[in-house]
Amino acid sequence: MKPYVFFGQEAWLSLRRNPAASLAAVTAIASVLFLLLLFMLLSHNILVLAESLRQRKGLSVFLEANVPAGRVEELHDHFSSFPEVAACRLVNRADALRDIEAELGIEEVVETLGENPLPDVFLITPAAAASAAQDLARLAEEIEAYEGIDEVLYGERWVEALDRGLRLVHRANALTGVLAVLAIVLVLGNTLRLIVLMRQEPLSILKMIGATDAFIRTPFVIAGVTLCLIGALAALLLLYAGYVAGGPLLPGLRFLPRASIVLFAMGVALVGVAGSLLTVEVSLRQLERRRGRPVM
Amino acid sequence: MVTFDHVYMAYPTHAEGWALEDLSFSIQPGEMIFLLGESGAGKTTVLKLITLEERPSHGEVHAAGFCSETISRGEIPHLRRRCGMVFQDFRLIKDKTIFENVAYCLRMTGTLERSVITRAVARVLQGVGIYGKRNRFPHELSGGEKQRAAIGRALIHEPPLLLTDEPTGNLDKATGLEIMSLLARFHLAGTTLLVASHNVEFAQRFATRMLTLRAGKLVEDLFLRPHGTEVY
Ligand SMILES: Nc1ncnc2c1ncn2[C@@H]1O[C@H](COP(=O)(O)OP(=O)(O)O)[C@@H](O)[C@H]1O
Ligand SMILES: [Mg+2]
Repeated sequence: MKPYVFFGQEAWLSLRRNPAASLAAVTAIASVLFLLLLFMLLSHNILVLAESLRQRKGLSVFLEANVPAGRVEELHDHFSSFPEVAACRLVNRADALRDIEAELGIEEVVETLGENPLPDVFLITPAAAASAAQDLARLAEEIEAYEGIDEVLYGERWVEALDRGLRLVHRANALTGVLAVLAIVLVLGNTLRLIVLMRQEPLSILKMIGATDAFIRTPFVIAGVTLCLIGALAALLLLYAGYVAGGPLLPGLRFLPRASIVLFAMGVALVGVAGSLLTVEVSLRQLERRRGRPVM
Repeated sequence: MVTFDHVYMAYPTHAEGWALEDLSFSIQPGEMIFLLGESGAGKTTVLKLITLEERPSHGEVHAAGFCSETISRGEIPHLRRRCGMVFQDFRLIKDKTIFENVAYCLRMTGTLERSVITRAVARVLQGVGIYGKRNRFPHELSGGEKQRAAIGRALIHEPPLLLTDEPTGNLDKATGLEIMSLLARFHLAGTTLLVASHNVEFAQRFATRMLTLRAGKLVEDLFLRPHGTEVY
């Protein structure tokens, strides 16, 4: 029999002796980890979106409302003649509205809103030689200066617009992470302390007949890590089930990449080991200090 | 093997002065020493100081090559494996069989091979005469049988020194005699023994030397016979 088999059996036994406490611990750990995974999923998807926007090479030039058709024509021809511009296509507001109506399958947008809310837009494809980030910025600035242009959006700017949301999600993410670590350490602390105290007598006997600290500690640490990993697995399965069930409602939603999942699992295992070591150490020292009943 | 060098011991929760006071003596290999004294004289405390279950307040205890002043936390388990301890209340693990109780001691030193464990535990349980009851739990044994199991567990690492606390204290006379004869057999086979007891009769019959404590002080150190010449 290999040592890890023996310690594994001992760990399993210590959990099985306390099924209620173990189950409660797994449930608590799974809930807080589910929350963490949910934020991870959200920020991952926002990041993916931001990346695809950043990669987009074109500029969207939004015109002000009520620019006369002649002026639109003039601007279109003018921009097309820029050496940095490979193509300039006008999407006029009437066409854009029809597209949206077709896509959404409704026809009363104008009736509801009273008028077409969309601006005219030029979609500009920059020339290959002028599609670096700083070239786009310069081009956007130049175009924005023209009479009748409302706003120019392109890669980096789209990302900037998303940035505030992203920063918020990141902050929530970090907060949930810290919360998860605290919660796990707390739950492990309570559960393992209970398990150790219930084994008070055999543990003190083992110590007296020559067991090392490591021999006594190891099964409990394995038990703690096992609780964490079962909790993590449950949270992950729950998230995946939610993703499969709710995916069709949010087309384009992506699940966490494998690297994130591996990192998540490693993080949980690490917190599990550290938290277990800490609480087992504290509990065993408590035990040692409590010993002191008079023996005649 | 064991040396007490001007040892003083006071329990923090014990107000009435020293549990042991200026205690000095040495145990030589091959001795079978009876540590005599009335209840509360300090016998158990002496044993606890040898295995460092308690630390001396002053003075030094040397045992199995370790010194109470300089031993590290990591060395204490090694000390305890070389000084087999039989507790007055046996301290068998309740939810493990006798076999498992003894086997556990082997596992904690890294012996995990099933066949090796089975063989070693069988040998030691046969030696103390309860191999037939190896699969029973401690509460299914009589006092004498529990004592045998506890002795077996203490002997599993083949310690050069065996410490026993009141090994006949809870037993009737006949069973007590059986246990003493068993311990004497291990003594003949080469184990050094320190027996804490208040039974002077057994001491006179089995001991090579008697140490008598009174209220924590050593009041008598009597050599009865040179070791190796006992007539059992
Ligand atoms: N854990 C303890 N805490 C406080 N006092 C103790 C403790 N153990 C023993 N004593 C005291 O130390 C003295 C010696 O006890 P002990 O060594 O157990 O005696 P013996 O084994 O000879 O009966 C007694 O007065 C006892 O009350
Ligand atoms: Mg005693």
